[in-house]
Amino acid sequence: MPILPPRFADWFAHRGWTLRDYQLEMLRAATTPQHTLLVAPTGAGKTLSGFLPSLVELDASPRKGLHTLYISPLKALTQDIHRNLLEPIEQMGLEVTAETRTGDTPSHKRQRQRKNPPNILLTTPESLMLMLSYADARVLFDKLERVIIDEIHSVVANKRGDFTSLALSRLSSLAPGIKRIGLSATIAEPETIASWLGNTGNPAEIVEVPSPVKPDVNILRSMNRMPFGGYMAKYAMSDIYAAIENAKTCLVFVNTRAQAELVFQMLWEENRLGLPIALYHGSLSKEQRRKTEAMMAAGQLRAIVSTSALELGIDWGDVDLVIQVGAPKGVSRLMQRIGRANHRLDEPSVALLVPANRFEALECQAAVDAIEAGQLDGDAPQPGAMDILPQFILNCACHEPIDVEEIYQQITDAAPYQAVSREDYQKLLAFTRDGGSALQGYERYQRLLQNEEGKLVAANKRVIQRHRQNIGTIVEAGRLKVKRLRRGNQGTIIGEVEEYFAQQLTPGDTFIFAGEVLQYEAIRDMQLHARPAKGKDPKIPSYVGGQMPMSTFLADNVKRILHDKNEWKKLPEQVLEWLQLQEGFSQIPTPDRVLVEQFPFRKTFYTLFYTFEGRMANQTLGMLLTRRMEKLKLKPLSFSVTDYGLSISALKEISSAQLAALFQPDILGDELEDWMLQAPMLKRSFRQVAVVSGLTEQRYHSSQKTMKQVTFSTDLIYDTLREYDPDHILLSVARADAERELLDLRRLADMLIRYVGKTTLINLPKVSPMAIPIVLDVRSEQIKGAGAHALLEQADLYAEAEAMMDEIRELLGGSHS
Amino acid sequence: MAVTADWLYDAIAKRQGVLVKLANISWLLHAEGVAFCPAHDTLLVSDLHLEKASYLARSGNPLTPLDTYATLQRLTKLIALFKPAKVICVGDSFHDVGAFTRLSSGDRAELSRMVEMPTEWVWILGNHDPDLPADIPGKKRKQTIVGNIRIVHEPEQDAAYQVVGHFHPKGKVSVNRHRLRGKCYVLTENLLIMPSFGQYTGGLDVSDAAITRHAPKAGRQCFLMYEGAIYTLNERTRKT
Repeated sequence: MPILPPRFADWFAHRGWTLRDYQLEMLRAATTPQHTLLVAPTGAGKTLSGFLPSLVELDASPRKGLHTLYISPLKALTQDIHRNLLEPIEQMGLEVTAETRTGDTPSHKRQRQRKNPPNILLTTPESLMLMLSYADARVLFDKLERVIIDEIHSVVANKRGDFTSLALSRLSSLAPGIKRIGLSATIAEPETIASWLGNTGNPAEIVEVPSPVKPDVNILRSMNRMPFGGYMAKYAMSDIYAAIENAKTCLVFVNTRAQAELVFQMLWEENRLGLPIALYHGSLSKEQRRKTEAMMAAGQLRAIVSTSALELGIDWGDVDLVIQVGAPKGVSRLMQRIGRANHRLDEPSVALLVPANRFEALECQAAVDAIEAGQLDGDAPQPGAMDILPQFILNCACHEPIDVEEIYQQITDAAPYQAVSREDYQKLLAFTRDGGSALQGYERYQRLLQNEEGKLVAANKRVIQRHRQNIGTIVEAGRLKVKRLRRGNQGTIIGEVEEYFAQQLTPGDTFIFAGEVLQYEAIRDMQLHARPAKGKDPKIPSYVGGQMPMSTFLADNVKRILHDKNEWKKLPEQVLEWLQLQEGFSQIPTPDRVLVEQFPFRKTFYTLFYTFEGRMANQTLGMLLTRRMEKLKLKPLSFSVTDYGLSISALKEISSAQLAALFQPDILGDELEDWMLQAPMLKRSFRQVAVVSGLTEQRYHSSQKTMKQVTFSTDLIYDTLREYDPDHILLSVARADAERELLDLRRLADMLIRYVGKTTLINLPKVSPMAIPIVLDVRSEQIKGAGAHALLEQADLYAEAEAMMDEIRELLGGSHS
Repeated sequence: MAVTADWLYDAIAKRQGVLVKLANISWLLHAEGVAFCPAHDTLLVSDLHLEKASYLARSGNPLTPLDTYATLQRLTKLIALFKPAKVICVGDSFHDVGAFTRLSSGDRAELSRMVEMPTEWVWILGNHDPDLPADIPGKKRKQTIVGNIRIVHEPEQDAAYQVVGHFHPKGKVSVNRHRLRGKCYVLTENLLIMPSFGQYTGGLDVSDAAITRHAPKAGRQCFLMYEGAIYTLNERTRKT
């Protein structure tokens, strides 16, 4: 039998397509029982390839009931894929039903889907977990043959991925013959994802599609002066606008929502021709986003300024240029973005990188080199987050009575959880049952009860209901809807801002949102009311967690470029001049040592540590070093970090002997312990862990009076446990979480061990050229909500930076003019 | 009375308390959430909300049932510190009418020991605990008097001076760009609102209308408790 039935072959021919080798490979792989991972560049028709075996099978033997489950990390993606899937089904006249099911699906449709499921169901990890909690889950998934996990590279190595892996494990226990198919963008180590995709000890088979054409990536060479610090790339707006003008359709990617708002504003100020340029980020209302998507699909837009919200999946057709504003932070991530341009395999995608400051120019060059060499970076796999396990255990118990041993098997069968010890499992199980307190003599509220067969069941309907309402791993900061008022109190909802930002506003304040200046009026009924206005110095909402640290791989490349002077020629002239000044005045950091500069500045001593280990690791290092400096009586005052380095200001000068005592792996012992216990960091982690593990529910806005009773701060629970039940399992879970998600301890430890005794201390009369961007990073110590502040202060900082450079030029006797 | 002038002076110097006047009597508002009146050797505490966790647990929140234990531990320590002749709990001492029956045997014994510590113990009834079972030791009252000050759970119209609980006031203050939040005392010329003492009690911002109705911003002082110290809250009246 030919592997592609005639009906399909005709359809391919009709579309002018030929079956590609890897598509054939996927069809063959479909007949084996092994799980399969397809790794293909964007634009290769990955998703169709994933569905093809299912369509062929369903066409050969039509049936009722669920055959293929498709899981997407993005709700919006399921709609899009659904449309793309219906096209071949309709055109070939296949007897195949396909439907979506997400949090947005109306309940009557969900009911119907449970009774009469489609052949192909497109859903999200959360919706899948919810379906697995239904008493009739076995009936629903009984005949399931295949599960497709799309954009798998974006879920591996994060909590949502851990969550998905548990859902898959459970699914496999209900329908043992099930075959998993993963679809991934090109990544550094497909083996990692293949292990994740298969069950423990049984990695998926890899089908890899080579990307024949390398993208054409360039760094912007602007005639305007590139600043030393800052993240908004204001200097480059006219260049970006010119690039948009010359392109057909352009995607402008930025790294944070605040950047998106500001870049969008600045582009409109440049917009002499009134080009249709739109804004897109995750905080805009769904309606706004749908509108923009529709306009884009219809070819009515020339450019969209977007955050990572547009990074995944959705096919835009005619994009011929991608502009990345700001540092790329990681090569794989950059490739994903660049892949949004020119969705055809055989033509190169075209991209322009716009560094916002001179350090970022180095990072851009490092990324360009890596792309040139076909190298990628990737997240290292890490053990699964433990706070999801209570949720998972309860989810299973909501479905049917559970056998404690079977559930342990299912947990360890999920690759991220393969190393979970029986002891930890027992503790988490105890927590799930009754709160797991070690103290005796208390009547406990039981969420799980033992039945006659010795199995555990959910205690009552309330427990089940409460659990189902709280499925998931995304803990949102409190948010308020933004209502744009026109007349009186009439208006439309245009998006959301974080409660934290809203609290900082007083009536009359202006802020930028959804691309316009709004004036804050009041908070009414959980909504922030504001109307269009003209205002001076509008604030910009900042969002927690918008910043990604630079990948280790890119950091190493940056160091390599710095070290190898032949590489300097590739850099923009202004960057070259900056490096030459640094070389003349101080030293260029080398890959095998950590350069430490010390100089008097603003009446204190500044020490600059050029670690290149990423923002998070530098932040942690800053906390620990300042503690030890305190002990050494060096009187540290404050510190600030960037991806590249750490700057500490102190009243006393550091000697090289003291430096050796500072830069030691043992600060990960005493200082870390001390600091962890005092820092608000653990409380922050505990907040997340408390919600995900089911200890408390999502915290709602305080004006929701009905919820107030339950939502007293989890900090109080944390304090209570710390003092009276210090061995409670959730405390150690919170700690592990903090180490992983907030501290980047692993990366820091690696660095400290590598560079013991390999620090070079240079004392300078003044701040060095390379130190300027780091010293001037005003986001020091006030990570949250500081983005807006940074912006307002930027203008002055540039002036200051220029003045400092002038002084250095003078000191060096004008060797560079 | 264990409290001496030197001790008081020292506590104030360490920011462990502030001295205020209500109805011309001095009160030490302590940073751990109790108010002490030297003239009457009386200690006030409010809104213990004992057994709140077990109450919430019944609706499906697997909270650790340690709040009662923790609350009693903290309060016992403070009573031992001040050694007052009289302790008055200003209402909502128990989270609900069934709370007393849910106490663990250990906590129940601890509670009895604590109530025996001063010469006199008064439970003021609150909206959460309008009825207290007879086997709880100590007096139960709708209100009581200290000097010429009425002690009652919720403010009443006809009182010249009164100390109340009920509102769980909390506030925030900015110090060097850090925002500190904490429970508060709110004081006007004739009213003192106590902070809530219970381990698992949340708070209502002092700017909430429910509080400003009784203590308008213009004529009040707020004292914020933060990690064992007490600060005067600087309330700027917002420009409109």
